[in-house]
Amino acid sequence: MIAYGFVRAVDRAVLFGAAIALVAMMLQVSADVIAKLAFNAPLPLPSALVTEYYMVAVAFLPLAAGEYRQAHIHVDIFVQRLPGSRPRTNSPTMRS
Amino acid sequence: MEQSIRLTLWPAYFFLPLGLGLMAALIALKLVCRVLGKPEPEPVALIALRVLIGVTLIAVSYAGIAAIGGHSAAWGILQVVPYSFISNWTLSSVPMFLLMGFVCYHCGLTRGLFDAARVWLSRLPGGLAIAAVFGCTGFAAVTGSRVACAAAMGKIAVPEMVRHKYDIRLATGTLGLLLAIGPACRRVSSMKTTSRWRTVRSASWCSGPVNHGSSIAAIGEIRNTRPKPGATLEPANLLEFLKPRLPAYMRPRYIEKRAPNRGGLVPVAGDFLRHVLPQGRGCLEIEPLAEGRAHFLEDVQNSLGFHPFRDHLFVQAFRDIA
Repeated sequence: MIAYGFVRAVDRAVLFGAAIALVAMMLQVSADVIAKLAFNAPLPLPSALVTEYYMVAVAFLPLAAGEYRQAHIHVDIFVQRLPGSRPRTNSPTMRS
Repeated sequence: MEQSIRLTLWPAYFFLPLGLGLMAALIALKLVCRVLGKPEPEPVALIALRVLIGVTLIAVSYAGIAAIGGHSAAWGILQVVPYSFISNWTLSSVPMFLLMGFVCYHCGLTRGLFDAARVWLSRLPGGLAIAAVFGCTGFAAVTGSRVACAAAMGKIAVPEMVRHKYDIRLATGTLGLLLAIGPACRRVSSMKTTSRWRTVRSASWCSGPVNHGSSIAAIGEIRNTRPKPGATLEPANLLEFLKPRLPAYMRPRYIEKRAPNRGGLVPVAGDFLRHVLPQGRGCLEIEPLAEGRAHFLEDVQNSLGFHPFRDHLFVQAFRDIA
């Protein structure tokens, strides 16, 4: 279906954005540490960028991706008892 | 210097509605699919009964605040609270630790580390869980963040314990225990230390080792309930505990000499017995030490090189995306 292709495309785009923010956060924090300790010239606004852009992007962009993979925490004690429900195939801890 | 420059905040405010909205749209799509009887991407059971916990908490608190102070107040809190919780410098260590755990796991670094821990702690019951406890202690001391510690160690330690045939309940329970008690002592010790707090602080210094010691003892007790021969804590084989035992891939390898069929003896007797037995059909011969070393170095090179890491990482990434 077209809708599923669209959902997958949005999912990949969102994950890609979050991954870019994550790698940018890593690079900027390490560059800041190196600049501060080796050259005694700290970069401007690493903490503001990290807290106000990267953290928000990393935390909130993949919400839909988590829902797409059913990786959010939910309770299925009652659902398991219902007739006709399938047993769970994979547990999130084994997905590694 | 940083405070003098103001960032525009609207792109960051944009992320939260985007993520929440996409999630809501996905849930709505699943609902529509089920109502229309179309096939779904994944088997979704009754969504009304397994509403996500986060969504439930958001909805309940929103309704409560709206009942008390009106919808505008609730909407304002919904705007401010998640953003101000996440945009936090201290919490930025959490995704960094997760990334580090990911990279360590796919480099095979944790594999080697836990194999080493297994060598030294192999005679103890539940040695790997105890190694995880020590690792958690170190992480908690470094970061002081309970969440980061649990996330990183969950990424690192749980797959290793599963790989070594630990019960998944024991593996996750160990980390859950540490999540509960581990860095709590550090949090107390980081309080303001007036003379009044000094007793609290010294108590927290004591409580860390006591907590970890008791959890180690508990793990040992759990593992002792189904003892393997030679793996119980008795004075008779106390000396045996002190001998490190090599894991399988570090042991000198056995290569097959001729036809490898020796009936039921081979799986039972073990390597040593096979070596001692008179050399006959299908006997196994021990590798020369230099060759074993060469294999070990090859393993090390394979796990340290960039190409296997890249392959591993991309396979995992594509499996996640697809």
